Amino acid sequence: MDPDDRWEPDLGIGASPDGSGAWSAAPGGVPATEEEETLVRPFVITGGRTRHATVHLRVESLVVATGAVVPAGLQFEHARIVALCDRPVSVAEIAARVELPLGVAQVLVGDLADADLVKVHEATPDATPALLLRMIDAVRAL
Amino acid sequence: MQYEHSDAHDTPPSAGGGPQPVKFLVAGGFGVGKTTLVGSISEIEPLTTEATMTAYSEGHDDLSAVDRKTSTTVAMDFGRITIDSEVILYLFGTPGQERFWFMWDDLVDGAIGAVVLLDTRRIEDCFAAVDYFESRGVPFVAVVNQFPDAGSYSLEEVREALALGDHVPLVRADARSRDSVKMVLIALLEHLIQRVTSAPAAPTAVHHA
Repeated sequence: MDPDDRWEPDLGIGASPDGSGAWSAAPGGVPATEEEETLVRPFVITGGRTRHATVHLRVESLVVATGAVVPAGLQFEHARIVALCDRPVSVAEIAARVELPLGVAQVLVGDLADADLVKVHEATPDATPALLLRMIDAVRAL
Repeated sequence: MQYEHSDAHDTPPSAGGGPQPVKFLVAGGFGVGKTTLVGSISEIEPLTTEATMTAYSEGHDDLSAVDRKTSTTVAMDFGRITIDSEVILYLFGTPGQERFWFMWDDLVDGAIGAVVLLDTRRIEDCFAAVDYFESRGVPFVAVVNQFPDAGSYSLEEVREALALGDHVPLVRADARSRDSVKMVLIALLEHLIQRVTSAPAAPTAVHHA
């Protein structure tokens, strides 16, 4: 498919032909599949950024909401991430659960950290024998 | 190997409170059972996250041979094990195809250990993973995922075929079995303890500048 055909802004998203709110097919066109949608949306959500300017996050970095009041008008995806982080959640889990590519989730979490809406636990603890023994005990007990 | 049970939690809690993440990688050829292994032990259904290829695909001219499913994104499966209130272990399956290994540098950053899963019918599929972890100094265990219809090679034959150093643990496992995967993780953790206690300077997570 020609990339130019992937997104048709005049489709009137939200006003489906049968009034159910669900799009089955665009008139005279092809159905907007989930796959096609994900090709476009990430760039829209981050405003074109592929990396956050200041916050570098690993896939396993743990993110937790600070409890600060979420400002009205927060972008939908940002708000979903804050809601997800009522307990520590990794960046990879956020990406999977919000169904965004990893790079997009990293940028959005960076935004939220900048705004003090979430805190990030980046550091991996030193692999001391004490820690490793605790991990062995925990794995045995699974 | 026996260790004294440690009651003293002398790892300091993270500065800001709350748990800290520990990361293991699970590598090996395509279809060798990485996701199965993660799923056998993870406390959550293995999740998949996708990294877009867009920023990296320059230079890959020949896309004709690429699996349709992975032509725009690279999928990584991962699972989670809560160790205690201070530590959460994450297991990340690495993208199995060689052409996606540019992503490994990001993934390996912070990893304290790795599992290299191999299938004796396609042993060469894991060569590059072994090379990669050796070159990056990431401690790993090699694991023969015992497929029912695979011939039974001795571990010594496998070690020879892999040119694996004697210091690298090599075990047999069934990625579908929770108990078997537990033994794999314990083998890796014991290997890490050995390295920490025998090395002059305690190796910690791999860090890239």
